[in-house]
Amino acid sequence: MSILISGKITAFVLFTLIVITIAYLSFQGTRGRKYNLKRKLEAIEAIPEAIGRAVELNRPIHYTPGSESTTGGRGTQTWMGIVIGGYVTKICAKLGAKITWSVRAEHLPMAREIYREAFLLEGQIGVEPDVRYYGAFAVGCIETMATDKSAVNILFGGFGSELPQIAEAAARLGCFQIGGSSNPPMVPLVVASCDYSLIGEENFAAGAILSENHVQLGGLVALDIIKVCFTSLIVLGSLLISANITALIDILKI
Amino acid sequence: MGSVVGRRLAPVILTAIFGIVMILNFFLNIPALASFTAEAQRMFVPIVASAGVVGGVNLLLYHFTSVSRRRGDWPLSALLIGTFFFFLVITITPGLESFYALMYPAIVGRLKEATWALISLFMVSMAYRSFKIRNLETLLFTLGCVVILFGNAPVGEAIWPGAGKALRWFMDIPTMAGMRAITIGVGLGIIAYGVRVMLGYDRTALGEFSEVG
Amino acid sequence: MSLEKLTKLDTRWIYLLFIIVTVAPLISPLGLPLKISDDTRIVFDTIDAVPEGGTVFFGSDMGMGNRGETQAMMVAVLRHLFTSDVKVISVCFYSSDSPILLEEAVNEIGLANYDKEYGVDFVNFGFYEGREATLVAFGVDAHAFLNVDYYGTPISELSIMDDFKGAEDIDLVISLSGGEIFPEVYLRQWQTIHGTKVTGGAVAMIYPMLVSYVASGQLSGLLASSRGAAEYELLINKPGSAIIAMDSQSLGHMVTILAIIISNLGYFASKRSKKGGLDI
Repeated sequence: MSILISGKITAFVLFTLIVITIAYLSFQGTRGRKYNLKRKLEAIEAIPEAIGRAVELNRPIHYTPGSESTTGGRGTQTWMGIVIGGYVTKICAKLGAKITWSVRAEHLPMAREIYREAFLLEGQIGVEPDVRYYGAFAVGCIETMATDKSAVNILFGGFGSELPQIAEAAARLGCFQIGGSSNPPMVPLVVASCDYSLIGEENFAAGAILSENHVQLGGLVALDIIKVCFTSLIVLGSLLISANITALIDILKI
Repeated sequence: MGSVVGRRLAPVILTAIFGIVMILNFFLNIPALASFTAEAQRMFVPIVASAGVVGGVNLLLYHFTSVSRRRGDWPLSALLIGTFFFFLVITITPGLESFYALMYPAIVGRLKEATWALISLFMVSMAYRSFKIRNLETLLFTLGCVVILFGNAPVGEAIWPGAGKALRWFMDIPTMAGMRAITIGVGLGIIAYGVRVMLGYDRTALGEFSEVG
Repeated sequence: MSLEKLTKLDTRWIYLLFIIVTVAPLISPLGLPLKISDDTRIVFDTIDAVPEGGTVFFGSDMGMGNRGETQAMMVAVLRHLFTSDVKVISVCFYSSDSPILLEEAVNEIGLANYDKEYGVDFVNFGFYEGREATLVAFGVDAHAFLNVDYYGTPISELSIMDDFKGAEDIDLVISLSGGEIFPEVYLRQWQTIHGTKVTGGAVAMIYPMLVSYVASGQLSGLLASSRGAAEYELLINKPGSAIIAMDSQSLGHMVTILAIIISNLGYFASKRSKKGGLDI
């Protein structure tokens, strides 16, 4: 019995190469290599500005990393949302803004820890995290924003159908909105309803850029290299198949 | 030393072991990996279910505090607590299953449907508010929206017979290209995040915000 | 009247118009024509092609919220399944609402009307938390994973499960998905490992995401929300609530297009007046 499963060998090789590339460049970040990215994400640059505006208006910020589960294929989007939430909370702590998180049950422990630690990093000890759990998620978020009269609504993470409800209600409440989702069906809704938005893997990049952590930035550089390789493969494959040459497809099917 | 190992290293090592084994199981035909993976997936189910308990307890604590301090809309908090225990009792009491089967769709189900139905109204107001043709991007965005709305509506094809074909082209070419690009990008992002977690470079899941590096 | 005022319209007027045009056809149907799409036909043919005595896994992966979009789809597909000599096993991985909706659909259809028996031709195992991980565990060894069905009947008393071990014994997966991209999960966990055929339906919000899987052949067709349900009702010749809703959908879409036109008229008028143009 062969250890390698037929039909998955090329995929295994490609996956291993991807992992090695990401691990190597991330590891280089731990050894002091500095990655200087020229990439600017407008949505991320707008966050301190939005929080400053909320402070001036003396109104709180509402943050949600979405209602998607942390397990399953879209779990990492929620993790990214929690990471970005940490940085948003840190900026709020620095500028003296009040922030409320709306989360799902399973995010509660992490969200509370991240919230507490974000304030701790700004020298504020003993802050009680304002993290709320909702079963009826969209309604809960809307109720929080309406009751607290939030000035800014920030949403990054894994969202399902609650996103248009939350975003549109926030717009009607006059909130300034910054959002991002890697969930493809939600991308157009984020773009349509938010003042600044991140789409697709920009959300993953945002976490790395906000942290200014060269380990994460190394991973980002690795992803860019891999994407260039993939794009080249797609272009090459399209040209070959147009010329009725199936060699590349046959290799990928091994 | 013990607390450092317990709090920091052990979770990372466990994550790495479980992650690597389960990924290798997908690509390799090794019976030991397969049985480990199956066992791990079975262990996972009660862990996830218990997250619901954590959420429920937190919900009750928050709303009990609201009621005891008469904070904000505390009558609604009291209603929530009452509803929580009402459904808890009828769910776990033997003999009340049929009552639960009647009450849940009739109350919760209808409320959920009403909330979902609001999405359609929100979409209309989003279309009114956001779909203004300011530049080329918004022009394409708005055109796409109109083509899809027209093509999906049965009356659209009655008004313009080409609506179905236009919709099909739109879904099969630009939409699919965009979706595939986003899916590939997100997939790679997930792999990168997984690698960082398994190598211990990212400990957000452990509640640690400041990472290595 | 200044067209600029169109940008400042109270959206509640648009809501009112939308509600009127969507509710009115439910009271007095217009009977607008409906064409059946290729994707719907592929779903129909795929279900038809399941061999006699085959096993179909029915994933009722939707919640109460999207009942309006997916319930009619579920009824139509189940009706089609029950006309064939296939076994239907259902486990819900998405929400605790799913088995309730499935039960409602089955009660509406009536197993006896199709000469089917619960536990022999169809079984509902209810909801199991854990989403993808639980689905994988079920696919590996269903008997190790399940103890009782939705009604508390031990698995040993359900003859439908006698020769069923896991995903490798499934001839077709039908995933009706609301709110979460569940067909993708079946593709990822069952099709790539066991080569299981997958088809299904999805709510409008996630349909574009799954179109690429249809194009690549991984998904054998896909029903698109309530329109797909209406087309399926036509194919099985059992008109139901989805066809009635089509008139509402048509007019609702037209109102949305009208809202976009109004908004842009107002926007261009205000741009022109800022440049010193005339009020129209």
